[in-house]
Amino acid sequence: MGKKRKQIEAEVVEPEEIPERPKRTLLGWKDKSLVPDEETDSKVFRNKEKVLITCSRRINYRYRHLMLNMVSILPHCKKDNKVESKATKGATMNELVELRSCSSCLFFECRKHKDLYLWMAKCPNGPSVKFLVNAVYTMEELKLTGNHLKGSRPILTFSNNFDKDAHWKLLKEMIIQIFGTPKEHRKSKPYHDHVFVFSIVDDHIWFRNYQISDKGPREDREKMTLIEVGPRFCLNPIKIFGGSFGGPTLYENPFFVSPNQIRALEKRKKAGKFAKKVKAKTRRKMHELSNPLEPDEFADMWKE
Amino acid sequence: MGIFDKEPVMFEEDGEEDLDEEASESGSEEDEDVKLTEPSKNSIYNRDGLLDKLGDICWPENAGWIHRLSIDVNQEQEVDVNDDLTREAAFVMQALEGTKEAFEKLKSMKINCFRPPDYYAEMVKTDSHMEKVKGKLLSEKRKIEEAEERRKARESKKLSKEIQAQKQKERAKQKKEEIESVKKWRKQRQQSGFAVGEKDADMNLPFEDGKTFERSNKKRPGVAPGDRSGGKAKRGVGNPNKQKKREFRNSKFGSGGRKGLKKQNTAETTDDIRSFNGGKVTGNKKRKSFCMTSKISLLSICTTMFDSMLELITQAASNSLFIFCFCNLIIAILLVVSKSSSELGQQGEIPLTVVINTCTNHKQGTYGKQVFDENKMLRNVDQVSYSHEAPVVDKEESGNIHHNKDEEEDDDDELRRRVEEFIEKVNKEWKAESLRSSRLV
Repeated sequence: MGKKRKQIEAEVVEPEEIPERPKRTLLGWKDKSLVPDEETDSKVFRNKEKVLITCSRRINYRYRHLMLNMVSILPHCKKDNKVESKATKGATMNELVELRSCSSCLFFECRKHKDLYLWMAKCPNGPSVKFLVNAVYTMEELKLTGNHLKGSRPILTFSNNFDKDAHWKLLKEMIIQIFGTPKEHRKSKPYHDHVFVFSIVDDHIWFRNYQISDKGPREDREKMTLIEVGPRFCLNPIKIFGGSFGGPTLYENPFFVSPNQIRALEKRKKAGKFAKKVKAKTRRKMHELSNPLEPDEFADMWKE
Repeated sequence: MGIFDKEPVMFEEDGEEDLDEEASESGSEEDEDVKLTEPSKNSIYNRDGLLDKLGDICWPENAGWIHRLSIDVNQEQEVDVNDDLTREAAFVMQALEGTKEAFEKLKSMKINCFRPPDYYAEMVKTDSHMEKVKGKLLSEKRKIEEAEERRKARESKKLSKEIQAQKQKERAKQKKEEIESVKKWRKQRQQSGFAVGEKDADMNLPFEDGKTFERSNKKRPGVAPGDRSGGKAKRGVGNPNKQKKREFRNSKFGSGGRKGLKKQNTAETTDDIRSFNGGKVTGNKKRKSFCMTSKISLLSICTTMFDSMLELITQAASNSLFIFCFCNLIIAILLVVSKSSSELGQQGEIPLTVVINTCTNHKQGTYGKQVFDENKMLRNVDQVSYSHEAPVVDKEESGNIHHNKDEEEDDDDELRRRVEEFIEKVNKEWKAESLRSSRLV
């Protein structure tokens, strides 16, 4: 009430000189002069990405360690408990993500204790990708000797293959949003001392993480050396869905053969040995019948 | 857009059907690589849908690069997936280029990229883990170094002998050359003539003996094959006698070494009488020695013979006179025997006196030497008698006898003197006895 009077008085006395007090609204102080600023502020981009990292039950030790490595690399993530395998797809996952107020999810699904599938999804209505993960090397490998600050913002490098096709572009955008640490995140650290490498080789996405170490003076960038920190993995995209953990299939990898199929084929190969032998024999017989031999001149030479 | 809308639907349906066919086909086909190319035509690829979604999720474009921090690196070469080394190298190259670009951009924005050395914060890997990494790296380094050293040692061992030989040759050569040069110089000086003096001429240079190429007698100390101390044991500390004694006792009483034969006799050791006393009578004197007993036994035999003879005679005749006569008879016989051969009369006398001696002596005691002489004579006499019993006609034997005679002539002079003395003694005693006997009677 007092303020209203003052405001009126102020307006009456000096309408132009004194800056107006910000109007108090339910949403907060609203200052007329600042309104355009706020509008521009709203245009100022703030990366509020949060990633939920979970895994399925009966996950292998190696894949669990990979998941934990991802948790340590991405400071803007939240780790959640194991998810029941039956209820992974569809609604439950979306609910879980929303519950934890995250905007994206990395879900590690382990099948048959052997195969690891990685779901990368933007929630609530973004696209989701299912990958098959190969060639996993965790950070605990003693051969990966590098080390970097926990929570420092990485530099993301992509090979130019990513711009060649639509699905690669989509994947690139998703990767940037999920793997890139938001600026001014609470847990982020100031300096840039590691770099992520995403490159497409043989229709697989290869991931590497290197530490940037400088031995010489800072100005001399030629003396930069890269030491691998880890982890390492290779992603084979299977399908891209329009919705989060489901929805219409936007992309299907034509060259993808599920590991189950591969194993089945191997077994069948071994199983069909006898049948193949029989076939080969019959083929040989047919061949011999169709091409009779010329009579041998020397066949009776050594006969007694 | 309409057309595009239809296509995905059709594709989906076709895709499902074809997938079923593929599954069955792929099972029957033998070649796995071929089947992959077939479904590639039927897979879903909704480009528009993808691009739509991309637009949905994309950040506003006015958001600066600083939020993205993404760099696109030009990948020039096609990398072979299976070649690990080149693949990794390609990744590293990509990372390097990306970081360089990014750092340039960051620098332009005046953002510090590198971490200052005093900035300590939590790292992605724990310190304990980094310790393990460090340990592993160090161990690898050590292994490599050790392997290198071992290889070098092996090679050097092979070469060492050759090198040694070469070095020796070189040294010898050098020595030779030096000597030659000095000799030459001296010759030259001699030829040119010098007025220095005689001193220089007598320079006995140590290498001019001509003995340079012989080995010196200096031996390396203590490298005998049985020496287990490696030649470094102290040899000169103890008393050498004591050492020798110790070694001897070790070899004799100690254990070890070659089996069995150490304490057995060999041909040399059986005849080794060094340990015995050397003829002295030591120890128990009551026990008579072997040599004395032998001599004494001979004497005793002779004396007993004579005793028995004389006892018989005395038993036969109580009179001393008779005994005297009997002795003379014996002497006479002996003389005759000796004279018939025309030998030394002295010899004949001598046995007589000897016989007399025996007669006297056996009663009074034995004179060892005299008995010895008697025996000697007796033997001579026997010799002589044997020679005479052979046919006297035989002149050859007589010749021999003459030879024997000649040898014994020198000895006989002494004997003569002795004999004469004993005769006198005996006569005196006989007289004494006769007097006594006469007195008694």
